[in-house]
Amino acid sequence: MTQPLQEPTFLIMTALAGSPMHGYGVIQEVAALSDGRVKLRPGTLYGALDRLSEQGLVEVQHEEVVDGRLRRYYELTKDGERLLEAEVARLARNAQAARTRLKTRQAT
Amino acid sequence: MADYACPPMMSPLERRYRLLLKAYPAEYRAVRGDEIVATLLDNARPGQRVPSPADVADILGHALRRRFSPDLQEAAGLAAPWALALIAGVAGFVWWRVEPMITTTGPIAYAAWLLAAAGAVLLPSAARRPLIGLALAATLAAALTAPIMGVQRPPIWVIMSLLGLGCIALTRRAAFDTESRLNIAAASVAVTLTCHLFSPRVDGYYQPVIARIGAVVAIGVLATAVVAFHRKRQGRSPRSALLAGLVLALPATWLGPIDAIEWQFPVDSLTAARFGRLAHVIVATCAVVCLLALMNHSRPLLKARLSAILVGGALGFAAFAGAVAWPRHVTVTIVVLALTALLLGTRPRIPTLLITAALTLLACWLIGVYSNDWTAIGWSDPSRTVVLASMLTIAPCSLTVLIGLPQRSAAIIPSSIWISYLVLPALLAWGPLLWALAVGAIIAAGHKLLASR
Repeated sequence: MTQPLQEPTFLIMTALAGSPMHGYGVIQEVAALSDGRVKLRPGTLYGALDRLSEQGLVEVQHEEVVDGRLRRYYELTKDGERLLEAEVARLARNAQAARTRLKTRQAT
Repeated sequence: MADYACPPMMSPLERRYRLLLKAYPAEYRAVRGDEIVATLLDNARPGQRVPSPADVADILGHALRRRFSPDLQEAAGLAAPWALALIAGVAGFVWWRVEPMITTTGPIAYAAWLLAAAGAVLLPSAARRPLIGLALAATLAAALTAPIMGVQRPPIWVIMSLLGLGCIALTRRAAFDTESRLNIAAASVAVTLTCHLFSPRVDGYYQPVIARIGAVVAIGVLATAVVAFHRKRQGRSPRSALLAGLVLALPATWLGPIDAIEWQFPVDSLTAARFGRLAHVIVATCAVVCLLALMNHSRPLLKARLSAILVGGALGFAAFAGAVAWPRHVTVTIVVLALTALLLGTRPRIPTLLITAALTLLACWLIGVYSNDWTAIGWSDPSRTVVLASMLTIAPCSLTVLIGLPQRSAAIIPSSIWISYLVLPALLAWGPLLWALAVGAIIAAGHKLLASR
């Protein structure tokens, strides 16, 4: 069984599940997904992207230059998609278990 | 690297970000550099001219992780609970047995470290790293606030070993399981009690304490070799356990030596000057760093850069000695460095040479200030100070041996003779860690010899 994903990694993979994104796009998307709670900094982002790329969970889709700045777009691989699905199922099970216990508690 | 034209004018912010990128290894910078700068610029506030402190810390942290191999990162994670147990044990012992002898600002740091260790054992994992960060800050505060509070600061070897071990404890992000937590608690108590029970017959304040703590920490370093041996017997790789031992050995370099003069060894005062605490730190650090580089298969330094370090070191040291004192030892030092550079057979890189010369001059002066009771000029025994500063030359000589040995370069002859001349006459004064490393090296060599037969 794989280790649960850390929250920033989970949010980066979630951001990339929608469509391919460049580094700054991922930072903005992660901030939006977490209601501004998780603010990734570039060093942290690229540390996570290095690790995810080495594990074959994300890959570079294409790169372009905008206003003299290099933008490299990343996308989720099939393995990345499967891992994210497994993590979502795990979190959903946990949330469902917590919801059931709370309902039982409130009913008594 | 991306093939695209750079904008003709670089903004001051971009220039500063690119300067920050120098912290990364060159090969990583070539692949990711432009992309990271672009993201940093996209993420900057309108009108921002300098990188924010948070961005600087974030980039430097990432660069540091890229510079260390995954093996070394794993080893630091393995060493973290050992470091925490050693630090709590040492803090407990020094507070309990040494502080009553001389009152210092140390209890600020000792309390913070005991709290950090207790937090690592009892509290949820999320609390561990903030508590260690707090203890690191408290250690710095104990050193810096002493003059304001009118109390002595703890000895520098206590501060440096606490900071070093604390940084190792901080590297681990993963949670400790219950067994590790209990091990940390038990080992902390064991370290405190062993430091107390082990009592060498030496008078005074510093030496008995260094000998006790140094021996216990050196045993802790050697204990990682037992873990490595156990792993090997199980058919697993002993590499990360051995690397963890070397990582722990780095702060332990501060815990030595047994002082040559105080122990009345038959050495003259200039020879004794060659083997004080400074010498022990430099020799032991060079030994540990060279072993780490060998085990880690680090990329060797360019010969042209090494040559520049040797010549720059000689120039910086000559400038210092010219201003302070010029005993015969200085001439020999400069000849050895110049001869070593000559035997490398490469022209030195001028920028590296100039930077090394300036840094050596500054380091020599700082050593003079520290060893002359924090006075900037007018030192009472300038010859001794110059001989003391010459111990810095062990660093470039060690680098030469590390790089030259696999290539069988003739440059290793003067460098290794020079290191031996500086270190061996005070053999009996070696601190516990150097003895532990020497014993480890003999065992490893013997094992290799037997295996080859």
